[in-house]
Amino acid sequence: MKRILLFYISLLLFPMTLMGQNEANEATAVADTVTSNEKYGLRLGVDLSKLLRTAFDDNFSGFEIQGDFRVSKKFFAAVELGNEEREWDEENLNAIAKGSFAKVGFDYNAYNNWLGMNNAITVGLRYGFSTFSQELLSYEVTQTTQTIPTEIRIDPQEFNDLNAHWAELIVAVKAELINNLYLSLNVQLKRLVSEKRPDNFDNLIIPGFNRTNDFSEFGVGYGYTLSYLIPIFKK
Amino acid sequence: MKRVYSTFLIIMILALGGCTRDDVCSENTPTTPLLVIDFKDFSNPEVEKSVSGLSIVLLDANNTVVIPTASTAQVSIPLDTRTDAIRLFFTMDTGVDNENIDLVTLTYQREDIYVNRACSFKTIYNDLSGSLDTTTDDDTWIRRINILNSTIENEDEAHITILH
Repeated sequence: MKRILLFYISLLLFPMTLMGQNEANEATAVADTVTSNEKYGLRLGVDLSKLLRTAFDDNFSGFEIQGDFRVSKKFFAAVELGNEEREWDEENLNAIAKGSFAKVGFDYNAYNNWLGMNNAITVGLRYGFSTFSQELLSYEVTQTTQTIPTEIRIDPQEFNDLNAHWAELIVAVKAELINNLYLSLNVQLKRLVSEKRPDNFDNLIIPGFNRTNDFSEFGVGYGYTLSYLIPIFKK
Repeated sequence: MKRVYSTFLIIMILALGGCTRDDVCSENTPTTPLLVIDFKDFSNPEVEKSVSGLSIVLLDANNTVVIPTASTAQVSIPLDTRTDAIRLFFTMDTGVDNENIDLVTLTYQREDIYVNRACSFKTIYNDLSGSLDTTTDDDTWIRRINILNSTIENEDEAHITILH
């Protein structure tokens, strides 16, 4: 069951994944004497989805770097750092949020690898923090009747020194493409703990948290990360 | 393993379900309020008095009809979110022989208040005052304009009483 799942996800991720796994299997077939020799080290990565959105989405620019360090057989300490600028572009409301964020926490690998393989399905928790600013570019007031028309008000207002804290559940599938090079897909469920809101406006978008919701404290996100493991020791 | 599946599923459901309510401005959400006007009897200011054949027309290039002809004792009219004043023709017995047109000027201060993502902002009005143009009209049907509430934030109660 697990193997089937990973196989499908690998297919989705990249055809190269298959090649990487085959090589790994062959390698273990030869080196049969190896008992359990798992790599520990620092894995550094970059979120490809944010780079792609920067290239193709006019309303977004930003990046995110990730790092994790294996602290035990199942646990990894994890950090994500990033910077984003994202526009909320609706006819009646147009604003830009920009700022930096950091997420700190751990991942738990729930996947039992075959010997010699280093894939992972991780479930992790993060504490997220962002400092940002927002600029309200234009808006149109809402009326119940259009008998007397209204206008789009273009009167840019800047709101600085905003911040937000949140807790995040992050589930990721990580596949080793070739030796020490990983591709991973993750989804994130976030819950806002506290935020500093501007006067007479709201935090429409929080860098790292993504769009907020008017009627709930929850947010979602995803990432598609390419990372490299710098092996430090084996155990 | 099942746990991983269900976690994925829960996240997907939340991701899809989490963003439906925000996108359309609900009709139940109070936005820019209308000005509520009560018509009362000049000789007995506590008593409601319906205006026969009342119509309200905006003094602008198109003479926009704000309230079409009807006999009523209460109307709700929009104010102009673009300027701090509005001029309106209040007509009694519209289209009838003894038609009487009065010009009323309402002035106010506008304030934009953030509502939410879907509804954007609303305008509320402060320091409302009303005046009747009697310089060019010596036969007004309106006798007096009383401001009950100079701040227009909602439509719960009348803001103005017009005595006639």
